[in-house]
Amino acid sequence: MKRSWKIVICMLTGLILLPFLLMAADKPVLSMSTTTSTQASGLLDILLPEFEKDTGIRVKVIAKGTGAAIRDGMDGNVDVIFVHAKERELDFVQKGYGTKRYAVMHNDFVILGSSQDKAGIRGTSDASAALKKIATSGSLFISRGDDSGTHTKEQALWKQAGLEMKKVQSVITKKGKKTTISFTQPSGDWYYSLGQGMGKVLTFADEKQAYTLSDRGTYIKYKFGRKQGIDLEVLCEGDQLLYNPYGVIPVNPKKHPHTKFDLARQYAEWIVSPKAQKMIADYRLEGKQLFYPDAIQ
Amino acid sequence: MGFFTDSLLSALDLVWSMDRELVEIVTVSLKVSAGSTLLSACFGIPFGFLVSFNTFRGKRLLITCLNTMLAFPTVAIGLFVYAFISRRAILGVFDLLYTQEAIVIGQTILIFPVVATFTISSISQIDQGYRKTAMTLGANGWQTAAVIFREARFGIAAAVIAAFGRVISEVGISMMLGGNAKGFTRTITTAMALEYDKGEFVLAIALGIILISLSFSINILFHFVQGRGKE
Amino acid sequence: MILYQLKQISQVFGSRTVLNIDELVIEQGLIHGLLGPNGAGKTTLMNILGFLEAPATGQITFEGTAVDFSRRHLQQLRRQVVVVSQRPVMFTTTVYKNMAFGLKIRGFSSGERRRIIDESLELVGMRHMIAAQAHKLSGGETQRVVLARALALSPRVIICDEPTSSVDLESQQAIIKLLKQINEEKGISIILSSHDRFQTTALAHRTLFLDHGKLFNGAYENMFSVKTVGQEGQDTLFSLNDTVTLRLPMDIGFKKRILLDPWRIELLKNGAPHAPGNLLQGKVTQISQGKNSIRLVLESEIQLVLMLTPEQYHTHMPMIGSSVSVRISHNAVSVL
Repeated sequence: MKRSWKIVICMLTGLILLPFLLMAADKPVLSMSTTTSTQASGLLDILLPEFEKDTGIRVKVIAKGTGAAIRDGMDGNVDVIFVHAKERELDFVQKGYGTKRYAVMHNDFVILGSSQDKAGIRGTSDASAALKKIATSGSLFISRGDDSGTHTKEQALWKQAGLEMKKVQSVITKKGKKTTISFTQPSGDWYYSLGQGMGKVLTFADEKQAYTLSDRGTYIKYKFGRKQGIDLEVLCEGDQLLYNPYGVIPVNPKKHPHTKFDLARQYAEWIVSPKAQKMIADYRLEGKQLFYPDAIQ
Repeated sequence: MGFFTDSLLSALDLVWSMDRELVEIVTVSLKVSAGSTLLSACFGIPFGFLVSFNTFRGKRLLITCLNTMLAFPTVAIGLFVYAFISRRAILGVFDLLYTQEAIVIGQTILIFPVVATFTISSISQIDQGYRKTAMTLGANGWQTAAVIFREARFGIAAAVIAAFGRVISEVGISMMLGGNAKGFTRTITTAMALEYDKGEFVLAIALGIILISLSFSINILFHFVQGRGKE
Repeated sequence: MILYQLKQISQVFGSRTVLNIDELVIEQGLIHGLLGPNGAGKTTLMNILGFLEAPATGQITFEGTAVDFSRRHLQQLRRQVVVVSQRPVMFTTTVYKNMAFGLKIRGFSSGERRRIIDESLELVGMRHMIAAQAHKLSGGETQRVVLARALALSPRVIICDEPTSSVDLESQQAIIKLLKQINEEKGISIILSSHDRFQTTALAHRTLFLDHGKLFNGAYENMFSVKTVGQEGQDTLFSLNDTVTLRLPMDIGFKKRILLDPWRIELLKNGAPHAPGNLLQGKVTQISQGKNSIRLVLESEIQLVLMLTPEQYHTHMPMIGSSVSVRISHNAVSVL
C-alpha cells in the first residue's frame, strides 16, 4: 500500500507543476482593474482594441466596485487601475501604491426622479440643494449603498447639503463575494440603501418612482438603449460637484516589482494621447455624448 | 411579457448565428470545466480507490470529512484559494489570480470530494467477491484494482459526469478567482451574472439557454450511465 | 506426498476465535471432504488453504516449503491454488473473457488461451456458452463454468466451498462427476466443503469434520449438551439433553457440549443386557454405506449415529427396525 500512496503523491505533484511549466508568455498582457460602470459604458470595447492595434498589448479587464478595484491595485493583483474616485485615487498615489494619476476624462452624475417630481427639484442646478429638498419632503431615495464611486459621490453631496449623517455598516454581496463595508447615510425611512449595482438600482427606482443619483452613462443605456426603457427623467444636472472624473494610475513597481509597469505606463500615456482623447469625445451612447476628455490642453 | 419573448427570440438568434462573443464565453467555460474535471478525476479516482481498498485508523472519519466537503459553498472555496494566490499571499508569485488556471484550481478543489466519494461508494458496492475472485485467479494488487475498476466503471464514470455538471454551472469560484475578464476569464455563469447586472438580458438568456441545455444533457447522460451500472 | 501441513493454526475475527486447529495434514492427489455446520469455520479454513488470508497464528507448509505470509509469497502460492466460492463471482463480461483473465495474467498467448479455454469448457460441458454473458448464467451453469475457469489454470489444488449447495439436483450430480474426473484425469487435489454427508463421503477419499473451529475425527453429529447432576464416587453423573444420564470418570465443569465419536460407540451383542457401563437401547432407523464404513442411525431417548467398519457390521448384522444396545464409554466423549 505504501508504494501506491507514493505514486499518487507523485502524480499529484506532477499535475500541479504542469500548468506552471506550460505557462509560456506570448502576447504581452496588461491587467487592469476598473469599475463595473466603466465596463458597462462600452467605452473600453472601443478603446482597447485600438490600443492593442497600436501597441500589440492585450488588456485583461477585471471589473469590480471602485473600492475593490483600488484594493486590487494596492494588493498588486493588477498592473494599472482605471477608476473614478478622485479623492481615493490621489490617496492611492500619495501612499505610494500608484506612480501618477493621469486625468483621462469625466462624465457626470445626474439626479433622476419620476416625472411627478414630488420634491420639486426639476431644473435645479445645485445638486446639494436638490438633495436637501428630497430629504425634507421625505421622498423615497434609492442609494447604491455599495461603496462604489457613485455611492461615494452621493455621500459627499449629502454632506455638502448639511444633512445629519449616521454611520452604517453593511454586508453586501458583490459578484458572489460577501464584503462588509461602512459608510454614512442620512436617517429616515425615505432613504433606501440597496447595496447593488447601478443597473439594479435604476430598475428599482423606476419601479418605485423614486429619486436616485446615477451616472449619466448607465441612465442613457437604461432609458434609451432598451426596448422597455425606464421612465425616470433627469431632474438635476450640470453642477460641477456632479462631475465624475476618471483617472488611470499605474501600480507602483517599487511596491510591487512584478507588475508590468512598462505596459501600464504605455497604456496611461496612450489614453491621454490626442488620438485616444478624441475617441473618448466621439464616443456616443444612444446618440448622446457620455464622456468629456480631460487631458486635451 | 412581450419584452421577455422578444429577448428570447433575440437570444435564440444569437445562439443560432454562433455570435463570436458567445462562442468565446462558452469556450472558456468548457475549457476550465473540462480541465478541472480531468484534474479532479486524476486525483479523486485513485484516492477513492486507495481509501476503499485499505483499512486504517480514521477511515470513517475521512469519509465523513469528504462527505461534508460536498456541501462547501463555492464562494467559501473561492475565498480560500484567493487567500493563497492573491499577490500578497504565499503563492502570489505565480501570478495566478484572475487567470483560467486559478478557476481550474478552485473548481478542482470543489469537485474533488464529489469524485472521491462517488468512487468510494461505487467500489464499496462492488461485491468483495470480485476482489477475492481476482486474487484467487492469481492477480496481483494492480490487476485486482483493475478488475474492481472495471466492475465499478459505470459508477466511476457517473462520478466524473456529475463532477463536470457541478463545475460548468458554478459561479462563485469563477467570479472570485477569474474576475470575469472579457476574453480571458469570462465564463457562461460569470457572463450571465454580469449581463444581468448590466440589464442586457439577451446575451444572458442566450447563455442561459446554452447552460441549461448543457446541464440537461449532462444530467441525462449521468442517469443513463448510472443506470447501466446498476444492471 | 504431503500437500499441506498445518500446525497450531488459529484465526480470529475481532474478539472471536473462529479457527483453532492443532494439526492438519492434507495429502496430494486426493479428494478431501470438509463437513461441518454453518459457522464451523469451513470457509475460513478454505480461505487459508487458498492463501487468500493469513492465519492469526500458526505455520503452514505447502509442498514442503514453509509459507511466509508475505504479500508476494501468498500471491505466488495463489497461482497454484484456486478457490471456488460458495456463490461464485463472474466478471460482468463473456464466459470467454472470464476464463481468459487468469491465463492472461500468467502470460499465455492468445492462441494458447483459446485452446485451453476451449478444452476446459469442453470438459465441463459448457463449450456452447463460450460467448454468453457469464454473470447471467443459472446456478448450475455458473458452477460448471467456475470449475472450468479454475481448471484452465492447471492448479495443483482446487478448493470448492459448498459446490453443490445452491444448485439443482441434476447439476449436483454433474458437478460431483466433474470433480471426480478432474481429480482422476488431471491429478488435481481437491478440497471441498459441504453440508451433505452422503455426497461428501461418497466422493471424498478423506473426510474432515469441523465444528466451532476445531477438527474432529468423528462426525459433527452426536452433539449433546450436558449438565453435571451428581457425583458417585470417582465418577460424575451427567445429564444429556435432560433425558439420558451418563456416568463417566471425568470432570467437565457444570454445563458443556460434548461430542460422541460414532466410531467409538460400542455396539453390543444381543443378549447382553446387563453388561456394565452406560447402556442405551434403541431402534435402527437408517443404514447407509460409505467408502469403507457403514453408518447407522439409532433412535432411543436420543438420536445416536454409529460408524462401523464392514467387519463390525457383519458381526452384528443389524437391520432396519431391529432393537440394539450400545455402550458409551468415556473414550467416546470429546468436550467441545
